[in-house]
Amino acid sequence: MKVYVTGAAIVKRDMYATLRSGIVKMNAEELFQIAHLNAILAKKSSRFGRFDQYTRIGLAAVGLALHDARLDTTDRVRNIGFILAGQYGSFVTDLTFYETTVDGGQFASPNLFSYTLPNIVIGECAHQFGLIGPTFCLDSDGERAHGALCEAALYLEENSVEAMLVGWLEVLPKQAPKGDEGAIVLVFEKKKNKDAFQLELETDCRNGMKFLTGEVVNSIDKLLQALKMVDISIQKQKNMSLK
Amino acid sequence: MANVYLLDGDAETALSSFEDGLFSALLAKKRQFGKICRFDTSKLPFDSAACIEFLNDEQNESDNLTQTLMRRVLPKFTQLPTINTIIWAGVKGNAEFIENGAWSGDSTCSFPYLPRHYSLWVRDQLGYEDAKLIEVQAACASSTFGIAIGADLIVSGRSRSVLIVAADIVSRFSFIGFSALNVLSSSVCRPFDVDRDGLLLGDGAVAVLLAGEDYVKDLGLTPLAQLSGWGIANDANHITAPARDGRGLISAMTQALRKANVKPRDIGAFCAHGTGTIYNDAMELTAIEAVFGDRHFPVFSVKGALGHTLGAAGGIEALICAKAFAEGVVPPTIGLKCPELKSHGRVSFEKQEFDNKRMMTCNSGFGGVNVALILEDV
Repeated sequence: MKVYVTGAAIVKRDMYATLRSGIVKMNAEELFQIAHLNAILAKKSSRFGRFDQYTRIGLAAVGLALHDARLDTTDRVRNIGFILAGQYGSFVTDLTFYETTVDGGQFASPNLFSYTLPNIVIGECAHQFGLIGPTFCLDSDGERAHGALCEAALYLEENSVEAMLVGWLEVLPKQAPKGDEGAIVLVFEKKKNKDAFQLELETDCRNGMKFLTGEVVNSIDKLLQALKMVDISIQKQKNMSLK
Repeated sequence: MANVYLLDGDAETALSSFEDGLFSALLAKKRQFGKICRFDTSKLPFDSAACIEFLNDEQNESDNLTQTLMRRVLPKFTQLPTINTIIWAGVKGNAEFIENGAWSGDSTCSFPYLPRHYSLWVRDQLGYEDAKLIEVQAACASSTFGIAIGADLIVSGRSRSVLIVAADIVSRFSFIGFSALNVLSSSVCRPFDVDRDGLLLGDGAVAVLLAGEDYVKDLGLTPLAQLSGWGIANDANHITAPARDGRGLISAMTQALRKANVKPRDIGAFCAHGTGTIYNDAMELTAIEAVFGDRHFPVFSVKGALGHTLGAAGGIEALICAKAFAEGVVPPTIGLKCPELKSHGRVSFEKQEFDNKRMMTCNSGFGGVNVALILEDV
């Protein structure tokens, strides 16, 4: 069956990019000052102050990608799923929580403990954006997020699922080997979305997704390349005003 | 849709191993909780869990306790022709590395936790070099999610056989965390009881082998059960509290029924997540009533006997369901004294016969996750 990439977001420490915005230089800590992200949080969440960095970056990327696809209304639940790849998960928060367990654990932080699972960020996104579809973390060997893309393709073939998000999220502990950090989230819809850019793909039960040329989509990076996010965004590069 | 079978499995708990009579121990209403000796609990309001006795004595220099526990469930799977995919579904295996100081600022430890530590280790132990590795994280429902994802791999033709492995020990990290959340029981874990006051943690490891029809025929083995339906959904409600109306679980159960092409009346018994916390059990009873109406049929939880084994829980419960087909009864809900109103006629402190050969087993977890499986006797 045909599926369409209708939204995409990349979040790094010092920039973000979407299909609509191109690259925007901005400190990740300031992302929630962007109007549509701020509005979402102001409307429904009283927990924002509790979010760890992993959750903030992940939630920002999901909010940007859904806005790209014009699917970021928060007034109803939708059968959208979210499969998230990444290797370290909540490890940085795990370390922070464990520091609070000195003195026999009597002063351990319940809030930090709540965020010591990699799928908690998905739970926050589900709450914020009304995602009631299949949601879990799935990391596999091979190229980045390939396993997550394959699994998402299967869900897209099911009648009940409206759309799927596939993401990659990484916040590295300081002692970890150097590696890529940040978040990538793509939105896959089953119907053409007249309000959004779209890259047409085909699902393939054995290989996950294919480009119309027949080439297998074996990583999330292949899709970013096909979406020309880098090329487009270099031309559109600008500094974001926070006024 | 291609058939998926639960071909074989093994599990370890504080009560017993799957092979050595776990089901019989449940029927005999045994439970295995005691004061924790593994770490200091003197400054905490809770001190009880189901830890496997003398597990430390089996530990060798290169393994931690999670690996030591896993060594008990892997031997059964070393002689297969092949395993196409290994899914690791443990939840907090990294805690031991953190507790040992491997990631502290001044650590000189040469063997810190690295991503995919356990899935790579399992593959190495089993020797299936070509097996693809997947790591699944869905909180306390992780191994059940692993089973659902494994079934997807088989139905889609991407794998002929999938081994789901999970292990979680009662770690200082998790115990203190659950203590801080105030969800631990200060007495006895009593799933679905009016006086329930929380969960108790337990050591647990599980390995479940899923296979397609061709693989089963090639091996000439009789499967433990057929996996005919599965469903996954999110509550979209809260990261640690379940939706009180049970909407996510209802959706997962409904999807599983649809996939198995059966009606609620076709389900003979129900293995609940049944943690013994006030809100989880209330949510589950609400969801059961929404899907099954006022029908009385056996519902049970094993966590009053084994404790909550986190990532391993759902896999262990799936194996217990498979064993229930062979025995014709489901185990008693241990710890239960005075059932909640909505559980009358369903949950019992005695073993219960069930009237057909199809069961549903469900788990829910932090992050709003819910999963339902339907198993059939073969």
